[in-house]
Amino acid sequence: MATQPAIEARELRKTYTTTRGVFRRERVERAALRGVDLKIAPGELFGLLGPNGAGKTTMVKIFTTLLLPTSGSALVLGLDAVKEQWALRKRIGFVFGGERGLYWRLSGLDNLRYFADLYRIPPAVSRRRIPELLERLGLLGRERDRVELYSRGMKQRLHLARGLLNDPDVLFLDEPTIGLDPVGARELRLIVRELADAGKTVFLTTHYMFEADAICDRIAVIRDGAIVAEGTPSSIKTLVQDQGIVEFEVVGMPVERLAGLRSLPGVTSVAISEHELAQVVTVHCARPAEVMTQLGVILDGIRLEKVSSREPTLEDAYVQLIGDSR
Amino acid sequence: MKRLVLEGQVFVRSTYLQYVALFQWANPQGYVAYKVLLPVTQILFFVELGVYATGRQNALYFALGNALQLTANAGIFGVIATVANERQYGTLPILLASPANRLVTFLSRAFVNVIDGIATVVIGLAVVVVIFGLNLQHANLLLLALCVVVISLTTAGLGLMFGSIGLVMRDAIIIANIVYYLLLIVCGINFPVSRLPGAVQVLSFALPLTRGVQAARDAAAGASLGQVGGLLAGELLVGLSWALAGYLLFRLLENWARRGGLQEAY
Repeated sequence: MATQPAIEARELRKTYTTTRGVFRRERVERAALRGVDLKIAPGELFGLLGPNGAGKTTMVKIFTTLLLPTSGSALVLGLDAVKEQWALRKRIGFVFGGERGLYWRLSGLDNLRYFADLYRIPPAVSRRRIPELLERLGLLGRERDRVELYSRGMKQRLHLARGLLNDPDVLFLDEPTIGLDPVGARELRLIVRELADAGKTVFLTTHYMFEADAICDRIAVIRDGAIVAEGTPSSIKTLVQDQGIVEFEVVGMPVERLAGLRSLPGVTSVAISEHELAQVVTVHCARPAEVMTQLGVILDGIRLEKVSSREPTLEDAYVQLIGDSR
Repeated sequence: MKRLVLEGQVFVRSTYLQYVALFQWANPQGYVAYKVLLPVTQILFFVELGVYATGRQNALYFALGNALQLTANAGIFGVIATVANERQYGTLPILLASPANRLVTFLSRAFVNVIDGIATVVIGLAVVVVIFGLNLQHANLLLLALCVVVISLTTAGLGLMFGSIGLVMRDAIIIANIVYYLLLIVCGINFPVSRLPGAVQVLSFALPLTRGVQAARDAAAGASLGQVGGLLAGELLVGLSWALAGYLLFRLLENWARRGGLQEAY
C-alpha cells in the first residue's frame, strides 16, 4: 500500500485580486500559483527554490492555513488545509524568516510560554518541553533576557523553538536563514537537518542554492507560480550536465554589450551580478572553449579579469531554469 | 475542577504576558506617562474649557464626566491596539494560524483592559477629589464603584467590535481615535445628551457610557441601586451587544483575511 504523502498539492491555484486608482477603480488580478502539483513523503526534507514573487510564501501560507487557495487542494497529513484547519493547526509548526513574529518586550522564555498557551499545550508538557527546546537551540542561559537584546541568529532560533513547541509532524520553514551570518545560518541548517533525520517532514523555502544542495532530500524549483523542475539536488544538476559555465569579471561595462554574447551559438543564458565594484558575468553554454575564444572579439576594448570555465552547480541549474523569467 | 483551575491559570498568565508584550505602558515610567499624566491633562483641559464656557459652578460636572470617560482610554484604545500591535509586531499570523480558542483569545484581550480601565478611572476620580474638591460624603460609593466596573466592561465591548477591524485594516488605531472622540461628544461627558439633536441622541443611547455615566453621576449624588438599576442594566445590554457583534465580526474578518492574506500587511 502506498504511503500517504505528508504534504500534497493538487492543481493548486491562487490569484490575488487588488484594486488600483482612486476614482476609477480598476481590478487587478495577479496569479501567484498556477496549478501546482506536489507530493512530499513523510520524513522528507523538501526544498522549494525560486526567486522573489515566484509563489513560495503563498504556498507556505496555504499549507499553514493562513491563506485560502483560489482552486485546487492543499493537504497536509491527509487533512485539508481549507476545511480541516483546526485539526491541522495542532499538528504543524511554521517559521517565517526575519525578526518579526516575536514579542520583543518579553523574554525568550515568556515568548515560548505564551505561544505554548496559544497552542493549548498542557502545562506539565510545556514545563518539560520548553527547557528541552531552549537547550537544543542553544538559548539556555539567555532565556530570561528580553528578546530585544537577542542577536538576529538567536531570534531565528527562538522562532524555530516556537515552531517546535507543539512537537509538529510537519514543519514549514519560509526562508529561515535570511539575514543570518554564515555561522548562524550553518547552525540553523544543521538543526533543520537533525529534525528531518529525527523523522519530521520539513518543507523549506530558500533562495540559497547551497543551502538546498547541502540539506534537502529533494527540491523543486518554482517560477511564476509553476513548478519547473523537481527531483534530488543531483538530478536537478543533470538538467545542465551537457552545459558548461564561463565566468569572468569586468568593471563598468554597459549591459548592452552582453547582447553579442547571447547571440553566440550554444549560449543558453547570460547572467550578470554585481560584486563590489566589479560585475560578474556567468554564461551558460554548450561549448565553453568556443565562448572563451570569442570573448575578446565581442567585448573588444573591455578589460576582462578572472576568466574561467567550470562544471555546472545546482545554482547554475537554478539560474538556467529561472533565467528567462527575470 | 482541577482542569478548570489550570485553564484559569493559563488564561491569567497569557493575558498578563500579552499585556506586557503589546503595550509600551506596561512598565512604571510608561504607566505614569500614559495612564496618569495623559488622563489628568485631559480632565484639566475639559474642566477649564467647561468652566470658561459655563462658569465655575459646573466644574464638577466636567471633572466627573471626563474621569469616567477615561475607561475608553483602556476599553477603546487598549482593545483596538492589541490587534493593531499584533499586526505591527508580525505576530498576528502566528496567532491566527494557532489552534487557540478564539473566544478565549478574544475575551482575554478585553479582560486586562477592563482592569486597566477601572484603575485609570480610580486615578481620574482621585484627581477630581484632590484638585476639584469633589465631595463624596453623600455618594453611594459602592454603587459608584459598580458603575465604574460596568462602564469599563461596556467600553471594552465596543473596543472589541472595532478591534476586529484590525484583522483586515492596516491603521486600525485611527478608528480608536475616532471612536474615542465620538464618545466624548455624544455620551453626556461634557454636556447633557438632551442638548444633542434627536438623531444624535439615538446614537448616544446605542453607545456604551451614556447610561453608565448618568448612573455614576447619580451614584455620586447619593442615588440607590434601585434608582439607577435600569440605567446600569441598559448599559450592560448595550456593551454586551457590541461585544457579541465584535466577536462575530472577528470570526467573519478572520475568514476574509484568509482569503486575501491580509494578516501580514502592516
